[in-house]
Amino acid sequence: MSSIQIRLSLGLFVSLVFSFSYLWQTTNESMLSLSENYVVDHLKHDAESILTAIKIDSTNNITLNSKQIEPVYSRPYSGQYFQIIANNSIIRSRSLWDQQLLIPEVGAGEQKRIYLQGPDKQPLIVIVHGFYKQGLNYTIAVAEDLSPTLDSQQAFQYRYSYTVGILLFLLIACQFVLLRLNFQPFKNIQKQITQLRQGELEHLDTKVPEEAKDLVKEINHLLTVIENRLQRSRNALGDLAHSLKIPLTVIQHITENEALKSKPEICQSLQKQTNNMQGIMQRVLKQARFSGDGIAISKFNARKEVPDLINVLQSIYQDKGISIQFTMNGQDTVVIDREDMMELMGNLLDNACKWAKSSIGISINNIQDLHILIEDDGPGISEQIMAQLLERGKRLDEMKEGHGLGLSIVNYMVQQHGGELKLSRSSRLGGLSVEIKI
Amino acid sequence: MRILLVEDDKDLQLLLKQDLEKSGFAVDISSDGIEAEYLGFEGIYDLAILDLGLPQRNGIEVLKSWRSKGIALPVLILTARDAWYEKVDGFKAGADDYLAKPFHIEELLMRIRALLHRVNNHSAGLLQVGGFSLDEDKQTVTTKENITLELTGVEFKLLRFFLIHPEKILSKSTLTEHIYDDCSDKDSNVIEVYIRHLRRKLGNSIIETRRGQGYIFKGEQV
Repeated sequence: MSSIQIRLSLGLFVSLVFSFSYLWQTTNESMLSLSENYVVDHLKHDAESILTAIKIDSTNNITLNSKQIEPVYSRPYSGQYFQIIANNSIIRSRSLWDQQLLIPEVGAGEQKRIYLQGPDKQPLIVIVHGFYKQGLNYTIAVAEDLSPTLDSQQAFQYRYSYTVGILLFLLIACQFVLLRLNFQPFKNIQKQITQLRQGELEHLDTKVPEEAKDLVKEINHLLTVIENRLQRSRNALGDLAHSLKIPLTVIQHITENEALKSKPEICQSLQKQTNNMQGIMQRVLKQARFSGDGIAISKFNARKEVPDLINVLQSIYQDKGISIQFTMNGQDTVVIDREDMMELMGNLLDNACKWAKSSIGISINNIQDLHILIEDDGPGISEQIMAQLLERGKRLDEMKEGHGLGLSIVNYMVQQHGGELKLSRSSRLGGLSVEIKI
Repeated sequence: MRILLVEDDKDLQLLLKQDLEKSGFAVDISSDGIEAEYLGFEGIYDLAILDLGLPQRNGIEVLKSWRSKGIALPVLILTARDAWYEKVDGFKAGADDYLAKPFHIEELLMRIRALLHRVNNHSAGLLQVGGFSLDEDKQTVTTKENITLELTGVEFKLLRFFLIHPEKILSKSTLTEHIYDDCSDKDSNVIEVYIRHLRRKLGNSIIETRRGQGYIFKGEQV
């Protein structure tokens, strides 16, 4: 279990339940013993008055002065009883009526507390005392019905449990709400990170608790660093391309110079080498330019940008008069870097325009996955070349020039984004069909 | 046809100027964005070749500034920046064509011709007007009778300008402006000489003189 929130709420729940149960238990026990002790004190007091009421005549017969004994002991089943054992005879209170208590004899000065079932099935608490008076040993047992005490104890317990239960529930609910509230900012961060990955956000919100502030700041900082670095390397590559391409253009023009016409072999090898250089440069630069499967810096709005690209291609291939149909389903925004997507779509459409006779179909489905289909009515390519183009692990610069270059760049890019590229013959238009799933 | 070549690399400037002049274009060179922008406003160019990475003001800004002030000058962007998003941005800024460096001069010349035909409502390929068919590559003209005639440099320049703007009155100064670059010694009387040459080669009636106004290309009378 790795969620701090769940661990905290479980820990708090267990400790709350444990401490409340302990509190409940001890309170109940102390209440019970308190009320029992009160009864016991009272019984001791009664035992002493009974002792003073005992009279012994010369024949060792025992009598009781009933005036000294509380009247409650005379009313049958009143709940207050006594029993005296002395000299093998037993004297019982009138309240016991015909019942006898089963009590042990105890020595003088001893005292025992026992619990018995009395008349009328009353739960009794019995205090048994041992006395020594005028040469005789007495055992005096005084008993009281505990049921009123137990009843009130139960009433208290009921009220107490009820209160404690409600309190416990309220506290647990409070903890739950507090935890939820305090973890909400982290949930928000989680949500924002998902949005970030999907390119819906550019930075995390910095209105977070102190504990998370540094983390969020650091993530934002790293995002800016990555963004800047990508921008810088793209700019650097652009500058490199710019500065290399001009000398290359100049050299290429020199090969066409009149003065070199007399040495065709030098011209040819110069031309071949400059062409090679140009090809390598173009491939390497395009490859290096892709941002790859990272966080998209700026998203590609297909519904807006594909028509722009179509306009550009129709300007470039104006003389061919190609009709380009574009259908788009699902979300407008594709969560892939704009420059990457432009390059992908541009290369595919440029290829299609180059080979198409009169029409091109583009369909983009951006519902869950991104699904792109580009078809043309050109000659298409043979299955052998299709297989060669898509051979896994084949590096771009091993690919041959021509139809393949654009496609292999696209294939490389699709692979970088963890997608799939499929080539086939278009059943609708008859030329090449390029299908991409990312 | 007069071209404004905006390019900051000296070697490339020179090579391009030579190649373009060989193909019968008058070429003025500008090496920085601010000067190029100013020259574009002059309204004497038939086409501009614009580099994007320019000192002082980049090409896209120059182009946007022209377009925002209603300058319809056809613009071909010639740049090392060949990413598709850059092409899209270039066209959005108002470019008419886009060519990435390094390039072959034949490709550039073909694009320039195609663009000039397009903006002046001519079809692609040979320039065919009024019974004449001009081969801009070989700099020859073929008549309705299928006779191919060689043309000298200035004759070609002049005829091409007439063919691109048929049935329009073209003043001597307009013709001078579009046939010679800034560095040439401009004497508008020379135009008369060359028009005489053209009339001699292709027939007297093909170019009419409007006194005080200029010349009109009429083509071969049917």
